[in-house]
Amino acid sequence: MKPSLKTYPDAKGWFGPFGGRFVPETLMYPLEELDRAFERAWADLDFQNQFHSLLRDYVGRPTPLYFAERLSDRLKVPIYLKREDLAHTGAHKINNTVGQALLAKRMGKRRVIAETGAGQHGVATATAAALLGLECVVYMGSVDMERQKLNVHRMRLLGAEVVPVHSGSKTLKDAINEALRDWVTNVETTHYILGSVAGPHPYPKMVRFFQSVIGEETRRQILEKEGRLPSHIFACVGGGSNAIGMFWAFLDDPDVVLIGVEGGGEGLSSGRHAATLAAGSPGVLHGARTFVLQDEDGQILTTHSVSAGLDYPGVGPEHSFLKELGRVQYCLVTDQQALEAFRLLAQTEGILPALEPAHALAYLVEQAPHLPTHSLVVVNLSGRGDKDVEVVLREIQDR
Amino acid sequence: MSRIETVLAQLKEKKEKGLILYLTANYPNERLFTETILRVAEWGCDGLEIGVPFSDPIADGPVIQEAMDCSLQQGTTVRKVLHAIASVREKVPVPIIVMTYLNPILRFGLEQFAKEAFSCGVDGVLITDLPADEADGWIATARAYRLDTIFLLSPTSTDERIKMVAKRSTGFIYCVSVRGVTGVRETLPEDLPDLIRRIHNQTSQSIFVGFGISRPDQVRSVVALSGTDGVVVGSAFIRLLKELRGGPTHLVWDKLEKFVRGLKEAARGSGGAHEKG
Repeated sequence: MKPSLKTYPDAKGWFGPFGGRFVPETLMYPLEELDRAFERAWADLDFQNQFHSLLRDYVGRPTPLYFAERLSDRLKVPIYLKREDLAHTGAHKINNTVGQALLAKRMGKRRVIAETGAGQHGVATATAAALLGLECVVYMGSVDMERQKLNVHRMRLLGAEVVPVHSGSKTLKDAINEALRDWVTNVETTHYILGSVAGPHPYPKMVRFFQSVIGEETRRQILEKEGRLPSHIFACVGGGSNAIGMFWAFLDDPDVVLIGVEGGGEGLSSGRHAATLAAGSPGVLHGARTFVLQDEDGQILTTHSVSAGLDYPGVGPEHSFLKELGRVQYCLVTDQQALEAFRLLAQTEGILPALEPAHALAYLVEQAPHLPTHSLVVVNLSGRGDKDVEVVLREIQDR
Repeated sequence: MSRIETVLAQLKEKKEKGLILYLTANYPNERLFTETILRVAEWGCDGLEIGVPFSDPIADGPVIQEAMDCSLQQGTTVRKVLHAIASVREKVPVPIIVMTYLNPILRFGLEQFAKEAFSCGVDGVLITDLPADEADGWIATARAYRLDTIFLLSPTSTDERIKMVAKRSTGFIYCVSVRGVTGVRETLPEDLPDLIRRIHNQTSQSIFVGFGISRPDQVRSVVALSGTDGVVVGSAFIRLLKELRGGPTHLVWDKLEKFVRGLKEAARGSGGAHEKG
């Protein structure tokens, strides 16, 4: 029998050669403290009950595993959609923010901060903060604020302060830099709700545990409906939290093919993309050793994706590990393909997907003709597309 | 004895405290950067910290971020930084410490970096986002090339971490005075004396205090604390250097000289004040 892939990370946060904790000294003790607090909470029945009752009654879990009949007919393979778009606030991000906000409260922190790219994590953090009575500040690149205006309004209505970040590429990576700077400054009173499985230990582990509910539900639901496990699971990968949340329950099922889809932007050869695992190399960014998009001098590159949530030059260290092991296949699709998949799902199923999972769908569209007979596909529909309507309309007009 | 240790011993003998200046490499440009090094060494600064620019400097405030962006736009690389240091090494007696984020030197290759840094005359290296407990490999490499390994301590460091960092540091310990990033601040944090006391109780290593120090009166308060060996001034100096990009340079040089001499005089403290001729 193969050893389990579910025993990582080790006590110091390493997934094989990836992960760890590369931060200025000021954050070292707070991260140790956070890890201890998380481990204690996760093992505590009271915390588990609080977390799961909020997931059930507030977030609306379990989210449906929906058989997409017309899409299946079109692509000639049975396809289930894991409907994270139906979770409260419209994306999977809320699973993690409810968990971390509960933890923050337990640790006696009064203030939470977050970074956001597409705005979904910012909205989910603002929501959890309102729910639990915590002060909330969200950092967002000024470019992203422009392309995801609706979410900026939502955050402000929820009582959060949204701080524009004008440095660097003015997108997600710079918002993380700024959130880290805030955290270094206010670490005694503040918990940083990082939105992905990236960052220094214990974030990749902690966020994975909060998101693993996606895959656990999917596993149960597909066995109920089909009496067998899926043959292929597709999920998009920016930082990679929805993908890890989905994949984790299936890591030790070698017959389930796991596929992570990155933002290919205008194509690898254009240099304008966000395909970290496809085109990057190991480096250290935002506190972890992982694949990053960097130039030959180790400077982090500016990325491009039509989807703000995938527009990130790093990736969670566990993804780097799963790539090197070959357990997960990482691929990419272009902006154009994602936009086409967006329209396909809208018109076959009456669902507007977020542009992020539209990438996962687009890769399925590309691969469907090559899938073996008796395939059974699951796509993690990690969020809904209302936030992207403006961008999609503009892109369609421009093309 | 390393050059850093020699200078520290000389300061102790003279009963004065040290002034280290931080410069972002090749800022405002390569020529002015090397000229600045030569001048500040004359004005009495006791050590130089040369910052390798990085695209994502999470420990730095807006002033140094901007300097790094400016330097990167001019095509600064790790190798160019080392070559610039080599070009002045023979002309300045003070220790030169390279301060960098991990990724650029990881990409360069840690061993290769240590080797070239040594041959270019670098005395010590401080890697901002490499905590001492993740640094075993780096420490071994640095020792092989006789580079001092300087690590940070901060107000959030526990006594346990202080002990661990003291064991792994050579040259001196860089004590971050504040919770926060680099940048000019009005006041020093209230818990700084307590932090210095905690570090001093755990180790006999030299302690330099940095982050947020910009004025002679602040320098005086820091060096008055028993256990400190000096201060590091960064953002305030970079802010003045920025003026070299615009105005008449001789006026800016005068201003810089006054600034540096003022800080050094404050650092000399009571013990060395009478020595000034």
